[in-house]
Amino acid sequence: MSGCDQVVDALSEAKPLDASLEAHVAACDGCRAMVAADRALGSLAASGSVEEEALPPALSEALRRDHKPVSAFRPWRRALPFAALVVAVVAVGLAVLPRPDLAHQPVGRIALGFGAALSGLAIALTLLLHGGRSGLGLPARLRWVFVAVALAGYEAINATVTVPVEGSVHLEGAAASAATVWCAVHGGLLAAVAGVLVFLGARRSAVVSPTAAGAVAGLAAGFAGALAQHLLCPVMDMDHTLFAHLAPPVLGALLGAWAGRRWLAP
Amino acid sequence: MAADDRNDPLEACMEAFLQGDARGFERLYRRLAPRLRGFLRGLCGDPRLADDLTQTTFLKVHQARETYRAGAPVEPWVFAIARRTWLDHLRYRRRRPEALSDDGQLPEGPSEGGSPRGFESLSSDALEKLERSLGELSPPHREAIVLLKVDGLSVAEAAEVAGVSASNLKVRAHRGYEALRRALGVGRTP
Repeated sequence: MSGCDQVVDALSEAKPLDASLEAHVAACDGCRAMVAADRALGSLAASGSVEEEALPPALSEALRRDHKPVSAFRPWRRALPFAALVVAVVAVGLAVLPRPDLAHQPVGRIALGFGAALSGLAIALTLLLHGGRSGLGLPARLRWVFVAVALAGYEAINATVTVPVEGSVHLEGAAASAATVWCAVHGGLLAAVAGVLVFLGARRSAVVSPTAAGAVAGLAAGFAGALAQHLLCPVMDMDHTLFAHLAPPVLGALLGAWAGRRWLAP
Repeated sequence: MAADDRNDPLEACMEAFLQGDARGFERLYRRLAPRLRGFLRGLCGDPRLADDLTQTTFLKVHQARETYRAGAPVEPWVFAIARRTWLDHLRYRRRRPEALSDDGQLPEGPSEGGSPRGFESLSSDALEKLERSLGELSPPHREAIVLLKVDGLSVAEAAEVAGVSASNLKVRAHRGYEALRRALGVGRTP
């Protein structure tokens, strides 16, 4: 590696130049110009003003209007309303509106479905609200990977638990299409209710990657809608489950990514 | 400004602000506004716009204070909000390339005359060329360089502010410096 490359390396890692690089810079017009430019940039970033500054009127006014104490950020306190909604939906769904086939489904299959759904929701909320080491949230890449893996896992589990038993409904033709649309719309509306709670809970908390955070928030809401829909819908056709019940989480993630920049960013 | 104010950790200022002490916010402003302005000036190349964005950033800090994680470093949080403010401004400008001011006039261009503070060590031609070259870099490259120049931010913190890994930030900065070298017409020693 030439001395010029090493100088660029040092500048791009914000490292001081060691003696050998200083010697190179002294002998190389190009590197001397680069270092001078770099120092000018550093001065720019550190400039502005070093003297005392009075608060601008707009900020004084904002402070005057509202400087009441706020409690420290508690991620799980923010997640509680959403978690309570999910638990209530599951409890009410199981108690009041059980699918006619549910009593005939093996317990293991039901446990797999609900366990996966609740775990997915818990992971989504953690990814959404956890501050990470820096308090700036978990990396955007981790959130996007979770969205992709969760959707793929969701479909795999849907395929596993979709087994017709006594009481299941099988539809064909126009009735199947109508049920698909109904399930997608109904699940979407339930997800929208959950989405309002998730976005309220996570509002302004995604400082670094609000788009990815929004996708995770929308996915969580979509899963909540799909979970409720699973409690209501007795149709045990693979294509129905894989498409109609996928709509709320997919649409949730897409809409959430769009909405995240607007409502999750400070 | 009292001497103890200058020595207060930023986290203590933030804590006081969260507890309803407006002076905590004022101390944050005094301590961070100059550097934020420099950071935003490096991104946008316009001192007046940098002033506006600095104010907007602090308004957001005020509004979003309840999402600050107690004990977390304040600087990366505030700089991340500033960066987001800049990105929002870019997006807005892309949608409305000739945005009008409140009174319906076209906004004025960057201020003329004199070198920006901190640039005095280069000739005015070189400064102008440097600013132009910086402005021509792709936004991620420019951002990486400017973030690394913000006094007090480590490479890891700068990476967190940009939402990328530290190695990714270094790569961006490296490419940015190479592009800057080409744009400035600076040669290499064979």
